Amino acid sequence: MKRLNQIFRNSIFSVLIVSTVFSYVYPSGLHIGLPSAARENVNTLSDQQQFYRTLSSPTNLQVIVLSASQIRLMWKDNSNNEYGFIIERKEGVNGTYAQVGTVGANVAKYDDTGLTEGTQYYYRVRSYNGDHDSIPTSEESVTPATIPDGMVMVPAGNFNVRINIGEIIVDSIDAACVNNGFEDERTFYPSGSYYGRGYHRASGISGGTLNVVWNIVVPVTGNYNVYGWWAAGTNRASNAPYIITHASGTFTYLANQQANNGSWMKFGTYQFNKGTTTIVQTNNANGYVLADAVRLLNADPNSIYSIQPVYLSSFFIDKYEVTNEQYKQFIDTGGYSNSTYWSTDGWAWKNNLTQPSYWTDTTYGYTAVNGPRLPVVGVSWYEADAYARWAGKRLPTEAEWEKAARGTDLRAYPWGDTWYVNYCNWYDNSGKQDGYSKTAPVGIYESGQSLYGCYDLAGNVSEWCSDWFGASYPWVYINPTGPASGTNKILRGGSYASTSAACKADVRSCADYKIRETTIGFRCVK
Amino acid sequence: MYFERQIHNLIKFITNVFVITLFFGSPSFAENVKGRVGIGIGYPYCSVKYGMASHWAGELRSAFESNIFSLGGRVYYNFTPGMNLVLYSGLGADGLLFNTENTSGDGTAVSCFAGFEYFLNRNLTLIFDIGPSYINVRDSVHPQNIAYNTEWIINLGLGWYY
Repeated sequence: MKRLNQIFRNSIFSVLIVSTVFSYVYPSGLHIGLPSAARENVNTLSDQQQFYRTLSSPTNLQVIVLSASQIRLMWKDNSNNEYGFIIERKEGVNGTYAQVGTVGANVAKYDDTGLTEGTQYYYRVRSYNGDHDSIPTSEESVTPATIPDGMVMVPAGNFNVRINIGEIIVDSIDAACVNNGFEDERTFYPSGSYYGRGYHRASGISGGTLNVVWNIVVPVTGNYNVYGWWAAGTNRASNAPYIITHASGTFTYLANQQANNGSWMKFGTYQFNKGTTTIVQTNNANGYVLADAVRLLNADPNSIYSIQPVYLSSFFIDKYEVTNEQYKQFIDTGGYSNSTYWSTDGWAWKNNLTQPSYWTDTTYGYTAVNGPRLPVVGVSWYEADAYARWAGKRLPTEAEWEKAARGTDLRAYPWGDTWYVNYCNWYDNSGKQDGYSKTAPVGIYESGQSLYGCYDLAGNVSEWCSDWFGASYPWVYINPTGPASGTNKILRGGSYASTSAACKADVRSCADYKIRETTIGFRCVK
Repeated sequence: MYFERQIHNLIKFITNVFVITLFFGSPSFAENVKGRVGIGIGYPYCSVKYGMASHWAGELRSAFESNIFSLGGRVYYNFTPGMNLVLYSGLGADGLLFNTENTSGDGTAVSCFAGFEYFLNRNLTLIFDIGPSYINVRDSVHPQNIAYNTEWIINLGLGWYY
C-alpha cells in the first residue's frame, strides 16, 4: 500500500510539473474555465454560419404538362447551401400563392398532381436553408391538358436559338448560286472531294462568257474571309478566276484547281457591307473550271453567332422516333396505296414503292432482332410526310425539333451540356460504349431524355423536319417554317453513324428529300 | 489580453508555491473529506462537492460566461486524502448552451484533469487543476453545422468544507 501511494504521488508530481511547464510554454492555449474554452468552438461555429447567410435563388423555371392532371416543374439550382426548395402555386393571374410542396437539397424537379384540366396555374420556386428563404424564380404559367398517347407537350413560349450570322456557305445547287452556261453535275450523295451534292464545270478559254454567280446576302457589315472549295485534278485550271465584289470594288483571285483538293481555300479578307454581294467564277482559264462552293466567314470570331428569341406555339411531339412496328401499321392499312396520305409530289415520286428501303433487312428492318422497336429507316422525306398525315400528325419544323431537344436553356445535348458516351446511340467504335453499332430500339437511353421527356433526339437516326434547308437558321420570330423552297430537307439530331459533335442539338444537317438511308428516320408532332 | 496575462501569471505563481510547499512540507490541519460537503467558487463557476469515500468525491458544477452556460459533473480520485495538499485526478462531463449574435445551440464537453486542493485551514481550500477537454458544439438551426476541438482548461477557485 505504501508502495502504491508512492507511485500515485510520483505520478501526480509528474502531472503537476508537466502542467506547470505547459503553462509557461503554451500560456495562450490555456483557458480559464469551460465556457472560455467552449467559446473557441462557438466562434468557429459562428464563422461557419456565414455560409448560410447568403442564399442564391433558383432560376430558369420551366413547366411541362405530363397529363390532364399533372405537370412537372424544373429549375436551375444556383445555391450550394440550401436545405431544399419551396414550390408555390396559384390559380389564375389574380390568385394568391400558397406553398404546395417542398423538395430536398440539390433536387431541381417537382411533379404537381391532382390538377384540373383547363385551369391556368402559376408557379414559382424559392430555395430555403433555415436562416431564410431566397427570392423566388420568375413565375411560369401552365394549363394542364390531355396528352396524346406516346407524345409529350412542349409549352408555348420563347426559346433562344443560335443564329449563325458570320458564316455563309453557298453550294452549287443552292438557289443563291446561278449557273450561266456551265454544265451541271449533280448527285444525290456527297461524294468524293466535292462539296455537298454536285458542282458545275466548264472547259476553259471561252472568253468568260460562261459564268457561275454566287449571290451572297451579307448579314452584317464587317471583314470576312472568303474561301472557295473544289475537287482538285490534273486537268483543272491553275488560274480559275473568282471575281469578288467587296465594299471597295472588285478583286479577281486566280485559284489553282490542280491543288488544294476538297478543302476551303482562302482567297483573302475583304470588307463587305450588309446586303448582297457577288462572287463570280468565269471559265476564262487554262483548263477545266469547277464551280462547287464558296464561303464567307466573319473575320471576328465573336460576331459569328447571335442569340435570337423564337416564339413557338405549344405542340405535342412524339416521345420516340417512329418505329418499324408503327410504320407497319401504316403499310398494313394501305399507306402505300392510298394517295390521300401523300402530297402530290410524294405520290408521283412513290411510283411502285410499297415499303421503306431496308424494310426486310435483318439489321435495320421489321424482321431484324428487335425489329419492331427499331426506328424505321430507309424512308424518304415523302414517306415520312405520308406516315405523319396517316397518323393525323405532321413532321416537326426545324424550330420545333430544336426546342424539343434544347428546351429553353440552349443546352448542347437533349439531356444537358455535358457529353456522355452512353446517353445515346452514336458512332462509338462499333457500339462498345453505347451498346449498339447500328440502330437501337427506341427509348432505351433513359438518361438521354430531353427536358420535355423525348428519347433519342441525339443519335440513333437523323430525323426529317418539314423545313427546306437554308444556309442560315430560318430566323422568323413566330413559328418559323424555313425557306419557301429548296432542294434539301432538314435533318436533325445525328445518327448511330454520327460523332458526338454531330449529335449536338444545335447542329443542322440536310439531305435530298428523296434519299432513303439507314441513318435517317423521323418523329411526328401535332 | 492584459487580464488574461495576469491570470496566467497568477496561475504560475500559485503552482510554484504549491510545488515548493509540497517538497518542503507544512503543518497538517486537514481532515479527510469523506462525508463532508464542500462549496466551490471560482472563475467562472460554482460547485457543490461531496466526499463519497476517503479517496472518492463527486461534484456538480455550473459555469456561466457571456452567453455560454455549462452544467455538469465531476468525479474525483484523491491520491493523498487527509493531507493539507490533496492531490487528485478525475473525469468530468458537461452540457453546454450558448446563444450569441450569430449562432445559438448546445454542446457537450468531456474532460480529464489533475490538480490539487490545498487546505488553508480545516474548512478553506485553494483549488487548482488542469486538463484537456474535448468540446463539441452545434448550431440549433443548422444541426449539421458543428465545431469541435480539444482545449486545455484550468480551474482555479476557493473551497469551503462544512
